Amino acid sequence: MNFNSIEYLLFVPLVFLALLLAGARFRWVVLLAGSCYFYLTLKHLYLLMALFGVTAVTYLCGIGIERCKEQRWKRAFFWSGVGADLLVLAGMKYLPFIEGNLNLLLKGVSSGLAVPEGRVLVSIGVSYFVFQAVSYLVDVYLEMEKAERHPGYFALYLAFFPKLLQGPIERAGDLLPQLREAQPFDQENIRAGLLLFGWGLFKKAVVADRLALYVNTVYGDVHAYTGLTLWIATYLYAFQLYYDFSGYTDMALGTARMLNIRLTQNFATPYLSRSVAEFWRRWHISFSRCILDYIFKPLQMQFRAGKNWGTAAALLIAFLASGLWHGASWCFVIWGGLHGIYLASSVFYKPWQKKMHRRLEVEKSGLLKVWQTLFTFHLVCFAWIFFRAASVSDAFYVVAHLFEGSSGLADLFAAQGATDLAIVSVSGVLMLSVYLVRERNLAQKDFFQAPLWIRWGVYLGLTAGLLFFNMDSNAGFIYFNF
Amino acid sequence: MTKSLKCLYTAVMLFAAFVVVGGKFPAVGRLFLPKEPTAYILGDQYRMCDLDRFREEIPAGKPSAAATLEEADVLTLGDSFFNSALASDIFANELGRRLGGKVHNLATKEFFEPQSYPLSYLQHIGYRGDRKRILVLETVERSALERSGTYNGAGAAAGNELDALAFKVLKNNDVEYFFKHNVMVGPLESRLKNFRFKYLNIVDKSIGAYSLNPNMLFYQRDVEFSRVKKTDAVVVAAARDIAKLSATLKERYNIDLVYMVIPDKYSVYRGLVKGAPSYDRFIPRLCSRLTEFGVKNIDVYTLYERYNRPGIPPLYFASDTHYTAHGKAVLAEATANMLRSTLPARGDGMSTIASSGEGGR
Repeated sequence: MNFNSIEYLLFVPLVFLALLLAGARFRWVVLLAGSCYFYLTLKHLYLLMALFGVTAVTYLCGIGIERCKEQRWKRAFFWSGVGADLLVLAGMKYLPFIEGNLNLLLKGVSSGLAVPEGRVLVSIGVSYFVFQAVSYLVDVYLEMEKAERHPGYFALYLAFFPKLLQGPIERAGDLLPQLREAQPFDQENIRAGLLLFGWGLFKKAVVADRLALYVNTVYGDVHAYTGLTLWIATYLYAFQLYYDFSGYTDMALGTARMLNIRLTQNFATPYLSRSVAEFWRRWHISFSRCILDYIFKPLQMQFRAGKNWGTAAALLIAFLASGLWHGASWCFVIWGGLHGIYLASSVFYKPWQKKMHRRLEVEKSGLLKVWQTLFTFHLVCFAWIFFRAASVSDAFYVVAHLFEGSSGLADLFAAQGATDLAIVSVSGVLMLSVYLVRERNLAQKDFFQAPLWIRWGVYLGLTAGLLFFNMDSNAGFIYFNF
Repeated sequence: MTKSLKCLYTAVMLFAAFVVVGGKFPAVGRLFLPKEPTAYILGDQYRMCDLDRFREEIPAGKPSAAATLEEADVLTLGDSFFNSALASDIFANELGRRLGGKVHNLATKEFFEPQSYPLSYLQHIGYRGDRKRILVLETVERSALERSGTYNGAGAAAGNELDALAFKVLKNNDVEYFFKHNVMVGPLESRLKNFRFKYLNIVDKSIGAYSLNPNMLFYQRDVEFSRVKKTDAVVVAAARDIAKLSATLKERYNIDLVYMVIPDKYSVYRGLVKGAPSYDRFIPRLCSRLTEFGVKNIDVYTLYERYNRPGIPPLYFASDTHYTAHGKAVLAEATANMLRSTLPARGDGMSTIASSGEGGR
């Protein structure tokens, strides 16, 4: 069930109706049942079984870790839980990748041997709930959180439908206390949640899906295009991905907010970042927090003797893992590797860069800020080429032909027509205005205190925009694949 | 919370419940849907997109009495192309008339997608291969690769109540349809769609492409399938699966398979769509592989190409995914000719069929 489907627009009011009928005491039952149904509509029973398996193992191991007095038993429970969770992820997501590469290797050495290749399974949402389960076990093991004793609340913590398929990846300490609270309705939250949901839907259905027309045409057959066309397609993809994913996140946050639950904000105008490190503090925030806390920091501790080199190695490994988390393909590994290299190299050049800026007295220069923002954006876009391309060879084709003419450009824009271009441009200006308003700290709260005509102007404008300009494509979200 | 907001939220919740009930229970839903015309049928693509410009009234065909399984020499099994009777009789009867023999269409609602699981379906109906028969197995192009992977697998009988219940509860197309077409939302939705098309060139998600001269709608799934890369390895794998099915049918049920893939309308008429890439010749490529593997087949794409000319009646309806009476007749004629030319004469349990063929391999 996609957030941008009629199915979902009917599902949410029905969850509310069920909550109203069931009463506060059974709130978790309604939300858990709703989440299971939501996941089942993907029509793959094994996904629900995987969720159930991960929930049961993590729940029991969490209690085991907390109850055991001896460290070795704590460790045993911890590693059993983490191992079992990762095994589910590996089995569902990485097995075909491992088998395929193993066979390539065996073929390369002409051994005549081959590993039987299994069925490719749909793994929508698995990376997210497994990551969340592992983070829970780490937090309990490090005694940062208490193990949840109520199996229902714990199951809901992993399965809560607004964040099940694409995150945000929630820490136990943030989400579990909210799930235990029993306030089904709050007017302010419903209003704020609805607005956020509508805004997210606008980003997805009006902007991202329209940008997809251009991006898919070019990246669907990159060999037909060169130069400027590839640049434009890559820029557009950067925005498509952002509006798609942040649109989804807004819808997730909006739905949860209507249910009185606040999820982690996942984006903070990432393309305005002035360094790649800052980009990762503003892009997919819940995920990069996990990568930082659970992979980078332990590795950095491990490699601390190596000083800067140790930090660089930890960054590289953490981002390679981040690439692999996104999908079992070499494209993602290269994408993660590129970000690892960007960040690892910054460990060495940052001190020099700062000195240089100080000596040139350009530290506070607006021009420098613009330059840094543009440079970071281009570094990120370069990596996106590997993220978007259908294969490594396609990605290298794009890289190799970035500076060769502009074939296919006229056809690309002629095929889509002027209307789409106009809608995308106007929406872009609108988005920018909203961000500027946000940057000036005009919070949502202030919006609800604005005069009636402003509020209703926004509501009606948003509704009209959605009704008239949505792409009606019901297209899935890009991050579903991860 | 103010009283008016409470009323609004309650109305939204109740409306959602109403839509789900109307969608899931046709007896209730029908009360709130506009009355269906009886004299004609509206094309499936038109019904999805609701654009007045593409409205066409398709005469409802009248299926004649079909031959029973026992009396038939030739069996047909396929999807809606074989089971529908738009503007003419069903394909099996059209073929039977041309062959002068009895043709039976294997269609049942007691089994989920028998056309995708022929072996499992024959076993389900207790089919005995006591005499030699021909099975004309059809699939629409967009499902050809998917089905080639299921032909040798096990399907499911619709009698399984748990499966049926799961299907009903989890698949919500019915709810979406009811939401869009009920008497309250339907007229508004229709006006909105026409407005969006007229001024913004936006069409329903089910339409992948369209032409305005002449008017023609193309199904999204057809357009999507045309973009799927069908490498030689993929085509060979599909042909191998079909050959395996053919061998099993022969061995287990004494059935000779004749296989055909009916082209998506987009494959035949993509020339009408501005900027559409050229056809990847999936059907001819599959057919030539099938011939290599010894499977009898009809290359319907090549056959239709010959009839896709100005002045010749269209092979497909403009607002529907299916073929016209003319498209069906052309195919029935080619199939009859192929059966006459390639199959043995009476003496081994078959009807007397002899002549030359067209379109067959």
